[in-house]
Amino acid sequence: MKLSLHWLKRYVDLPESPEELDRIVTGTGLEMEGIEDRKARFDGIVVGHVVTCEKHPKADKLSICTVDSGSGTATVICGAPNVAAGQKVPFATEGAWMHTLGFRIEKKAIRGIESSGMICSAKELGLNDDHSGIMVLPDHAQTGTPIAEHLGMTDVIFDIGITPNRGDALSHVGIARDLAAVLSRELRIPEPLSAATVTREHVRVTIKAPTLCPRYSAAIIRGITLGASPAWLKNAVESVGMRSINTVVDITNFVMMEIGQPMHAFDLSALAGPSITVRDARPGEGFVTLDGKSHVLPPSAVLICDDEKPVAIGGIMGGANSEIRAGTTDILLESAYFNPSSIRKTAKLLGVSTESSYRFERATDPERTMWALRRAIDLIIETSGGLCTGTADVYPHPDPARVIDLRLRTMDSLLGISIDRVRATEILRALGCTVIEGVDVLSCTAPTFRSDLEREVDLIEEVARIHGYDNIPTPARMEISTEEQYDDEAFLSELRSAALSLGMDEMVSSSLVQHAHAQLPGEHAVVSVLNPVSADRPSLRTSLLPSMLEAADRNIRVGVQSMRLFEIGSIFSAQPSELENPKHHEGFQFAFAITGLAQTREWFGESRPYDFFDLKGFVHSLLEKLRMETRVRFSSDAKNALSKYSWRLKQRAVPAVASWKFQDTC
Amino acid sequence: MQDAITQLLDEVRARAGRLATRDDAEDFRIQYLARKGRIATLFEDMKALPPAERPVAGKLLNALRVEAEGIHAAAVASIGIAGAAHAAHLDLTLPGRAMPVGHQHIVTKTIDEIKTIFKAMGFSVATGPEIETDWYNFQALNFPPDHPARDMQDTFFIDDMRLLRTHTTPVQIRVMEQRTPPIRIIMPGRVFRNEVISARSHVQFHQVDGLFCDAHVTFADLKGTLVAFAKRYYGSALKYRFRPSFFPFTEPSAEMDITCYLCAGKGCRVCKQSGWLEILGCGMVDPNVFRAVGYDPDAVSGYAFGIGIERTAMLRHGVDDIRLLFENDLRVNRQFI
Ligand SMILES: [Zn+2]
Repeated sequence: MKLSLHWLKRYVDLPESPEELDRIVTGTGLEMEGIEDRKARFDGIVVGHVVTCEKHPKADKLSICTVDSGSGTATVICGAPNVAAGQKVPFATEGAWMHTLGFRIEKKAIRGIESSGMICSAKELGLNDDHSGIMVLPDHAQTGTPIAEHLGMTDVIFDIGITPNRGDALSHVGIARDLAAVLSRELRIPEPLSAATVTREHVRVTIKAPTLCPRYSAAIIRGITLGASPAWLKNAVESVGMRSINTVVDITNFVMMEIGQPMHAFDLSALAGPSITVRDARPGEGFVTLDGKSHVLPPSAVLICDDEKPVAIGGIMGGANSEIRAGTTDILLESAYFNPSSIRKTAKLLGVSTESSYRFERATDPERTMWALRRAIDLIIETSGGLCTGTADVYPHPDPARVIDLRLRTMDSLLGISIDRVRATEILRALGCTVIEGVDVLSCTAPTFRSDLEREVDLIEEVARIHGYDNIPTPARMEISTEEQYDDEAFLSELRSAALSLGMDEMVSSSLVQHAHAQLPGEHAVVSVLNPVSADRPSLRTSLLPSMLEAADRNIRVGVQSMRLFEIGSIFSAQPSELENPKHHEGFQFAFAITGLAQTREWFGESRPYDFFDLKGFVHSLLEKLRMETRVRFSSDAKNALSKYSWRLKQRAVPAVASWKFQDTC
Repeated sequence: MQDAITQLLDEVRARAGRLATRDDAEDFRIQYLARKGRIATLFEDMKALPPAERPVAGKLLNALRVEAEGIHAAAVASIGIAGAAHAAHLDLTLPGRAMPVGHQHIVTKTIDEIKTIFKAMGFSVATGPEIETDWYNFQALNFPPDHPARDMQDTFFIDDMRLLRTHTTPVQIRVMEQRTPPIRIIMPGRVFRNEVISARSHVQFHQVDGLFCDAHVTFADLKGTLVAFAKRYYGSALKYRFRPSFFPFTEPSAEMDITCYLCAGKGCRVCKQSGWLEILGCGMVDPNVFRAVGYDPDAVSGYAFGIGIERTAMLRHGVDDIRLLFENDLRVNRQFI
């Protein structure tokens, strides 16, 4: 998720340096996947003052300018038609890297006159496509100010990975809360003006599916003018990677990115009236979402309906039939809480994932729907005009408060460090818990936005996380164990060492193979996966030999002519009868192949190809190394099973291939 | 005639032990085996015998020739090889007869290296099946059905009961079911994820999981053990950090990073400019996992960890494409010694 530093600073005071922020963010358990320092794009570009401007003696279209960059003046050749003495301009000084152009500003002679620096157009700054002339700044711009600062382009954008347990962190306020706790600073959450709500009309909300939709809040705003968003709003939504659409859509997105509550705006004129019913989808019921796709709804889906028809799939996407569009003046605004697992199930079955479904399936805060609604009403009226004429809020069975006791001694014995009561209380309060301090126990009420806090151990983790894992000691000495040691793999390890010591090269191949490579003549039935990544490798190997022959073939093709290969790995087969339990058999196999020359032609002797007796000798040596008194009988039964693969090796026959199962011995 | 043959045989045998140099052997050959040598002379003499005596003499002479030839051949061979040291005309720069050398695969080798360190710390080695049930792979490890945590591990299903394990962590459930604490095990093995095969990810890879549970096991013990492991494996000078993370089967959960040893923490392509390399995931065993195997979470605590083998091996050997590890190109495999 993308987050803006400017935006975060609305809620908590933060250090400036991106490196310092990276350290703090990572320390709270949020994964920093990327940091983009927007102002870095403008390094070396400042507000310049054009002191003089004269025509170039050898070129009509060029001007020779003297530009004051605040730390000295420079002579610059400029080709723009609109450059003039007295202007304030964006000025790239010598050494600045121009991202849009892909070069560094260097001193160079243009038609015999040395130029050091560049006066930039808006396009060259990457601001927009205007390249008709240089960008002229207002006269009050302070000469020498970095251009990023002058333009307000100083934001730092973080890309943060959020683990699935932290639905509360999918917003700026959520992240700011963690940072405030770590830094022991105040968290400032804006309080919406309830005065914006003038209740004049009745909004009827009926929840017929209270399990799937425990809470539904709605508001009517009439008389708005939809338009392009003001700069602050446009910058905010674009800074986090969203497209600015219009004031109302941008505000719903802004509130979602602010507090984590997804919202939806319906065009009121497309509804049968100011009335919403929330119900289960009927078997086989269809719906067309606003992206134009039609869906057949699964039973887990919840539908938002007016008095006549469904208008949205709750928590996932609105309908094409009620989307706001140019000319919309009246809207119905939705702010609801949906059951996380039913949203997840529905989204999966529909094959749809939206910003809304992503948040609802990770649990939003049921107590925040009205806050978000009021916040959105304020901002819509501020940006689009209009009046809120009515609200509704239905929450038939509020969740009971989750009270969890944290025993301090239990915490100490799990973490291996003593964290005192004062510190633990401070951390838990900063994270939104209500804490009643006892002698040995902190009685905590978990905040409604932290559905993941259910047990004592969850609170212990929160305290440890904010206190800092680095502050938990790392003992340099440890007691040693006196228990009996065992090794389930001891035999396989011994087998591997024996084969290596006899000069065999180990290979490791894929368990998932082509069906034809698993369905070997005379072997058992094949176990396959239902959802293979590639349709041609769906089956679990029943023998290591096909992969081994493939590997031998590949090596021969690239010029490795002689090899002695072995592999130890699991093989699988289905039981012939479906009724049997277990339904499959899984065991280890040892396979090997030798091909090429046992000896190349040398001064001391002629070349000799491997033959069956090398294989036989290898088997005997291996058994001797393993001190196994097994009598081995060689037969040619395996030949049939392998003949179908021998073509793979072109003209070269592999004279010696074998495998045997050690299931009974290991 | 027979006496002459017996006498010559004694003489040949007597010289057998005294053929120390190439000249001795050549002298022996000329004296006895050459076309005009003493054995050939006896064959000539035999023609003068009465026909009835010839077969017996012929047989004896043949035996004499075979033995003399054998003595000569053995002497030449032993002078040629063992005598090389004082035979100035033997070319010592000729290639030797190479013995075949077996190369261990980088994946099993890495597992062995990690096993060795933990075995020295008292851990046993436990294994389990690659085809698992939803219970062992997910539910017993505190992944509820329909929870987004399941999206962390894309799964291959065999039917609605069986799947290919996505981690070796289910082995800890199987071991805890069979045994009572203290349990101190590592669990190496192959795991599967339903992901598109690329340079960075494969449908199969290997893990070594670890578990220690007993009364009073702490997060500090976890840190101590894993730092000891990392210092043995990556060198005692390493810098490390533990940062909070999330795994359904541990609480608190952490990931362990070490300073990127390629850039010494300055930031490079391999560490994605962060200066840190993630080496393992770990945490304290979640009480729900203990409940699933019938342990009392108030009486037992424990830590668990998991190390990705391919990632570890690739970082260590500078391999940047995981697919190379399963292609078994011997030109590549033989480089990792
Ligand atoms: Zn690095």
